Amino acid sequence: MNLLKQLKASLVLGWLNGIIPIKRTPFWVISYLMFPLSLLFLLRLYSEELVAFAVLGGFLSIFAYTGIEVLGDVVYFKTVCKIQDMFVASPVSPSAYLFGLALSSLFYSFPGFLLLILISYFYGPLLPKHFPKLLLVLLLVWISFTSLGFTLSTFIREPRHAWPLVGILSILFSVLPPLYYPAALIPPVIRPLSLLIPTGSGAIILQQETGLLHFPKGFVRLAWFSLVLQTFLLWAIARYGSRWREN
Amino acid sequence: MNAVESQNLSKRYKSGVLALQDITLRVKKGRIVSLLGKNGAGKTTLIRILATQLMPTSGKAKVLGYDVVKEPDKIRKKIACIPQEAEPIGFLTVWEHLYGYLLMRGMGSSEARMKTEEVLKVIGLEGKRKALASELSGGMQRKLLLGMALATNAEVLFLDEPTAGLDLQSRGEVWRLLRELREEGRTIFLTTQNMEEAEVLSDEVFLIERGRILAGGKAEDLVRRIGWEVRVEVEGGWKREELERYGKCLPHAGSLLLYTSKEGAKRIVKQATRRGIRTRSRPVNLEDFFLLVGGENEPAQTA
Repeated sequence: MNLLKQLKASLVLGWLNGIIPIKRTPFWVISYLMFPLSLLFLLRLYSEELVAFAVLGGFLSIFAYTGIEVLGDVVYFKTVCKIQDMFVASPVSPSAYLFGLALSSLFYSFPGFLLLILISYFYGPLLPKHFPKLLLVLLLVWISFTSLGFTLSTFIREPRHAWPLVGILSILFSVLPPLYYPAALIPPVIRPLSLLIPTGSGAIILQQETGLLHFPKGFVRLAWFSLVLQTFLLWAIARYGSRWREN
Repeated sequence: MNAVESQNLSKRYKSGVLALQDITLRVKKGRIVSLLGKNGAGKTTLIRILATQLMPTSGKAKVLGYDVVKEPDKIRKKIACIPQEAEPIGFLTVWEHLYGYLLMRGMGSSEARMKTEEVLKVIGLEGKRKALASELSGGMQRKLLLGMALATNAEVLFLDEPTAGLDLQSRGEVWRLLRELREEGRTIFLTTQNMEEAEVLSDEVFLIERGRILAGGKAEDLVRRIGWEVRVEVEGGWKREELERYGKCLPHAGSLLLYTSKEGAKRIVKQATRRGIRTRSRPVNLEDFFLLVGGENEPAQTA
């Protein structure tokens, strides 16, 4: 199939696995919002200044979490319904399949994205001029985590193994890096470690861009480089390293 | 051109299990072909390699003239497959499954709608179009998956136990559908454990056992190869050695099966009636070929 037809396949899969279930079970959207909103609430109780950090962290963690959730979707289609082989033996390419599932996860993120924009309107730190870079960072984070989720899913044969993995990864990638707290709290010696995770790089970029913190220019450039590199590597591993056709 | 062909095709899984050994077969276009064998015989492994879902270890296989290893994309445009034990997606309706799958395969929207309506009638789920797949019975779910494959314009359909779990009536409907597809010139490659299905439906049957093809050909030719006309099932009261004077005898499910001539069968039944022993007799069929050639071998390795 040509590129347009593959894109159409992705959009259809996004509709089937994203929009339809959201309409039928809106709880899914709420479940993705629970974690960032709870943290936002706790941080607001502690200090109003931290709300701006929590808003940025909320954006990043929603996109990371819905991205990593692709792991659960793939495992469901592959080992529960066992329907993925129908797509393998069809003109749908692995990239179109991955993009379709990733798109469906994006639909889940969308309500949370809108809610956080609304909160940001009252508490900051986002201004209209920040949106291009915010969207770019979120796009890269989303691609990274859907790719990671897809790659991991191809090695999981038992669906129950996917559940704890999603929980562990989402906490690992959204609580440990400086998403909900200022990156300046991390001692400078070990601060570069946070760049090893896409959400960590994204958080440093956004905290800098929105003026919440000021890092050396070289450090922010390194954060951009790290985020782009990780996105590319994770995508390449998902595209070429995952097992679409079994050996 | 053959629809499917393989030459010394073998598959060894990483676990070390040799699931297929030197499979060589040719299937002409427009035929229904059955792979018959016990659980773990290698049927699913073979069908998955041909449907480009699994890599072979050695040997060659082509579908519609394209190599399964080197040209999978060309094959995938022209095939459809229903995996064994597949289930529809619980949160989608019947209509969404059919229409969405066709769109994903690249069919235009209006053609996909038309095909969806057509197939809904054919599989008898017209009244369930808005039902969620999770609300359907097991048989209906199987029909829905079958409908997804049938609705495509695929030239070769790979169906892994397509009628497993269906009631007699539904199975009959599926057989009718498959025959109609054959009339359209499509090739159907299916696996089954159902002897009747293989015998009634298939133009050709391959008996697979422990990863090897033990026999292949038209069902009636295979039955002829048994060399006996009648099967008599004898429930106790007779020693195997005694029965073997009349033909070939083997133990099966607590009884003795005697394969013999019509004359031999008459004599055995007569003697059995006199001795008050229950017997059942019928002409030999594919099940008997399976029992005599493959069924009495050692258990297969799990694939």
